[in-house]
Amino acid sequence: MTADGKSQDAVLKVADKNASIAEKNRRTFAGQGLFVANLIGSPGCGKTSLLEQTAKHFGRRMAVIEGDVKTAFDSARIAAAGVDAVQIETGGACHLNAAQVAEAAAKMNLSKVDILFIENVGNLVCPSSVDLGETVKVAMVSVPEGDEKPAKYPALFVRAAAVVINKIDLLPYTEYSVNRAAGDSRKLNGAVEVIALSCTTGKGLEAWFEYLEKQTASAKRPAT
Amino acid sequence: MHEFTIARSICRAAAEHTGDAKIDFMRVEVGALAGVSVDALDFCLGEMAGEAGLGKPEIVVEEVPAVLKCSCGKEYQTFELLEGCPSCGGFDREIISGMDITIKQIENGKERK
Repeated sequence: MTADGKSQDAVLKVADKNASIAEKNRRTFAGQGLFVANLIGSPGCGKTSLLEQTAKHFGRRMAVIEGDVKTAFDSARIAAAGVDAVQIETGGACHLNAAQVAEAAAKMNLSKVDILFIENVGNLVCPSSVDLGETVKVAMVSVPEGDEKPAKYPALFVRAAAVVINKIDLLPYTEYSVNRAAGDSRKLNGAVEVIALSCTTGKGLEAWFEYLEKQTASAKRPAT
Repeated sequence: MHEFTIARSICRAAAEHTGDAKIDFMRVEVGALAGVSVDALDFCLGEMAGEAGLGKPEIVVEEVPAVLKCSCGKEYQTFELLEGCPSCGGFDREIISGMDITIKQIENGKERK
């Protein structure tokens, strides 16, 4: 602002406090060789079920930060699957923030962990633009929600490195087109990995595990 | 409804920029991929400006298109991400901008440009 208070143009990028904490998280996680996935999807799309199935495969190589508006039901489910889980109750907030993640991660022993999942609050809008310091965002949708979700929520799908389409065991009962959902996801992000699976039957889970193994290996390589 | 938090960040940034002076006018641009509701942000800014010491400025919040660069070389603006490049129809594009929230203009002079 000029001293005489005359009008002037300002160009000010709004980088809130969250962004700087997220960057700090990212550096910390990278230093630990951790692959961190921020899992974002609607309530009921199967985020916790996917993590339960993933826990069966990876065991204690993975850990989970659970975000919910209320209750510790989900962290209890993950803990029952045999992996370390910390619950964050947001008390009404529609998404997790980087400070909550930093606090939760500090409570965990991550020295033997390869993959840290952050299960965000069930919501396709707000979590997409709030950086937590993750390595990648994983968008999760499910067959009963309809195949137009990537088209309707582009702000999430342009940012997601991987898209998981869950509940493909229900395809015979719906008009859901995996091709449409996958095609729209690829229009929004040409490099996206699309994995269709069913947490109920286990179909497609191998591709998900393979994706995670690949990401884990590259997170362990020291940055050049 | 994370616009409340964003509005607070905008007001703080503006107050820092002006040295806590009252302002008359502020224009904020929201990228088409910012994941923010323009109406909700407008409402929150109106509610929070006074509290942040900015007075009662006129506030304009505008959604601006994303800027994409296609592998064919074409750089273009769009709100419709599911439409391909206007030049080649392709989707192999890099996002140049569209995720940001920017304060484009702050005025506290009596004469507006």
